[in-house]
Amino acid sequence: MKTKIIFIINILLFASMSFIAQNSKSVIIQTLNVRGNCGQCKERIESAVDVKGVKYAEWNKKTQVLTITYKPSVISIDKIKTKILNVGHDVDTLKANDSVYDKQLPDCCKYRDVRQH
Amino acid sequence: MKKPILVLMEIILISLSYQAFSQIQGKVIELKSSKDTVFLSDIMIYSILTKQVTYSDPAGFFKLSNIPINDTLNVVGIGYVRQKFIVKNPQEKIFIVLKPAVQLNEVEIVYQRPAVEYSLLNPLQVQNLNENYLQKAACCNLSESFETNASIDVQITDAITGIRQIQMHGLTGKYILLTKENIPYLFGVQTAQGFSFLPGPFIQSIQLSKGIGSVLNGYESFSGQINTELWHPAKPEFKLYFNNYVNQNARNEYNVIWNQKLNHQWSSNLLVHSSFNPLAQDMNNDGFVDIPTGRQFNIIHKYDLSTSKGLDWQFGGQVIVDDRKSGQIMDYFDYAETPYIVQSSTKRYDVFSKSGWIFRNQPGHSVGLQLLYSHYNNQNQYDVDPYNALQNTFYANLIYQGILKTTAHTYKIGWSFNTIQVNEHFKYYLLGRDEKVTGVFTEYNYVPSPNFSLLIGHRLDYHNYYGWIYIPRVHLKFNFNNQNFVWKLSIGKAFRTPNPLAENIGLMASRRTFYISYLSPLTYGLQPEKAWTLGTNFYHSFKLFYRPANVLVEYYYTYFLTQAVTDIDDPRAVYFYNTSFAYAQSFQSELQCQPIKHLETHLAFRWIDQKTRYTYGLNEQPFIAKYRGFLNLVYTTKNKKWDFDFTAQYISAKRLPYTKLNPIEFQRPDYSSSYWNLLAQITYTIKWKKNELKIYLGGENLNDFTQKNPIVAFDKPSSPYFDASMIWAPIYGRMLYVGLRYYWK
Repeated sequence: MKTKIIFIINILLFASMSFIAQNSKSVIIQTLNVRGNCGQCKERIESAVDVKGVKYAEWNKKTQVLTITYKPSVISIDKIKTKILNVGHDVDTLKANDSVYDKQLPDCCKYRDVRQH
Repeated sequence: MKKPILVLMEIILISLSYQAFSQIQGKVIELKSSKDTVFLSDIMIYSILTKQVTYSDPAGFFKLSNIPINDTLNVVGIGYVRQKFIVKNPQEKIFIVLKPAVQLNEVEIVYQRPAVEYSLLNPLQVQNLNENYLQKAACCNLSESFETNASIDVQITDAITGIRQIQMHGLTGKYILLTKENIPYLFGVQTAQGFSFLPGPFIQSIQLSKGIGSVLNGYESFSGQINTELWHPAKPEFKLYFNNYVNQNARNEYNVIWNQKLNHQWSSNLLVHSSFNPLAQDMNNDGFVDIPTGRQFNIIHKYDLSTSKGLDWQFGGQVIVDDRKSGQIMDYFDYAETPYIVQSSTKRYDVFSKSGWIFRNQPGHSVGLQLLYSHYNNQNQYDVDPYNALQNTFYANLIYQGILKTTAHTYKIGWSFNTIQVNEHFKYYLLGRDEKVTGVFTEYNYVPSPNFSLLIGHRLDYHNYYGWIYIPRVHLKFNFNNQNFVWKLSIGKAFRTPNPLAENIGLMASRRTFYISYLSPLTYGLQPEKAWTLGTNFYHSFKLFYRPANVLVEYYYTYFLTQAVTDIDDPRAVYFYNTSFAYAQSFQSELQCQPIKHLETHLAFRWIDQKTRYTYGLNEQPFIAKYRGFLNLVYTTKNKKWDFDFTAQYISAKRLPYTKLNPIEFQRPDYSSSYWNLLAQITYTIKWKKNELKIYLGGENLNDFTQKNPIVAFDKPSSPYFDASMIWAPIYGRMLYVGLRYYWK
């Protein structure tokens, strides 16, 4: 009986360990160049990618870099980029739509027109 | 920057060299003046028709191939006015001149910051508690706002007056220095009720520094310093703020803050608080009101002058009127006796001024002057016994700040003067004192790199009763591994004058006899308290569950050279005397992480060991828990409309004063039982245009744990065994409340 329990516990431990290992394998940390200006932009960019599959995202105003931790099995990087473009922020060489830029961005966020704060 | 002639040559060169290619090229420049041209890098150029994008290089150069005629190039760069350029000749070399955009003012948005922040740069062990933190506890004043803090314990002093006192590192609130905007706020006998004088909604942020403080604010601060920053009129975050709170006991509170910009230099604000507790409720059927009835009015008016020439001046005043009534209520007491009633009336009037002058021609040098006058009148009636305290305080502190050669060496020197006049009347005792303290101090800060900081402070005071007092303090800070690991170390001495009556106001709600020595009537026959405090903490930030997390491990040790002891281990008496041996050590570890997205988790564990040598031997001070566990969970929905806040605390057994000399029915066990305390709050935020409305609903003591029979001999208040000071747990059960906060920006 005792050995059986130990055996089962071992199996469970092993399974959970391999699950954790696999879990960490399937997560990617990547950086994107995202254009923005101010604290409001940070809020906009980070909440745009606050979606299923994205574990954590942090945008740095100084370096204009978004560090994003995500599960490619749930969301693709192209989808993430689209999410950011949709709220009016340029990503790498992709340009956000002019009408989105003009209409949606608050004044301080008009990174194409306004000096960086 | 290049001369126009060079620019012209470059234009010619570019035109010559690139003529052969079928691509469009050029340079992006800004003409700062007729003599000054700047080549702009990182300017985006994109064509409308071919959807190509490129950026200019550091020399301002760019190129795009296969651009058709009549295509439009959009040229955009951060800080420049957008330009459109219609391509007439794709082979042409072009110069695009951008004009700088007019700088817009940023609407500063404070994005989600952790409610408790650890400073990586400050050598002092400071935690910043911002507005988000303060809103976790919906109610009501500074002492209650620490209910959700891992480092500070809140405790009721007695079952009748409901005064809350705080503890830090196993030492009571009197060993913590409270400052309001960096001016000491509690002097002498004000420590008794002082933490209830600052309503929570007045406070914008709290800086909680643990361990020995800085020498700039005086020789006190044994276990830590709490600085509160009230809402400033300059750079206001809102024009008008309104807060209303009601709990199930019908306690209602109103807070209004009105910020006003008078002109480009002057601004002012008005902070008004009114609270009212109308119902005398007795939930535990002992005939005594559980929470005192009464009201408080609290008004602060501040003016701020900010000039471009370097002068900053803030001044204002505060008025507090607080009345409370408690004790036996009609339905229960024996009609043969008169009811035991406690009444308290407090008035406090303050005027304060804080001015700073920055020397424009000498960067890094400034001078500041802080002034405070405070009048305090506290009248209490405990059944037939009065306790009245009248105090006048004046405080002045002048600080000069400068740098030695480089900004790696900064120093502060200063002078302070402080006078405290106290007149106390307790039963048949009439006591008075007139303390006058003059001091000089210096603080030197060496910061050769962001990874190291050394802060050395000295102060020398002359006290008219105790003579010369020398206080040294040293703080050290190291950062390792790219600031992911911080180690702080501090050691220093502290000093204070005891106020045994005011600090033990809770014991007056009993029939104990107070023994005060007449050896030296000025200072209750007591020596001043002196101690060394050593503190160290480690902070490590890392990624857990892919999200930022941190651990904090702290250790503090306070060794008293002299302590003023309040000995209540005789159930019928209170003795005040000095002891030369007492210590308190505490160890605390904290973990903050986000196991699930949007779920902020804060776990803490604390251990305290403290002992004092009483006349009968070494023993723990009563009412201090040895262990404490703490869990705080905050879940914010993705749209930031809903906030769910939950706190659970485990408080271990506390030593209770010795009561075996009482008849068996009036005895209490040696140790209290341990208990849990659960708190929760839900907040819903509505935003429209420039307005923000937050509605909250919450509960305190959700697990409904109360201390049974909190008052010894509650049915015989005139008997010598009557004692309402044996409080170690909440006496009021589950308390639900609702409230709203409205911001007009």
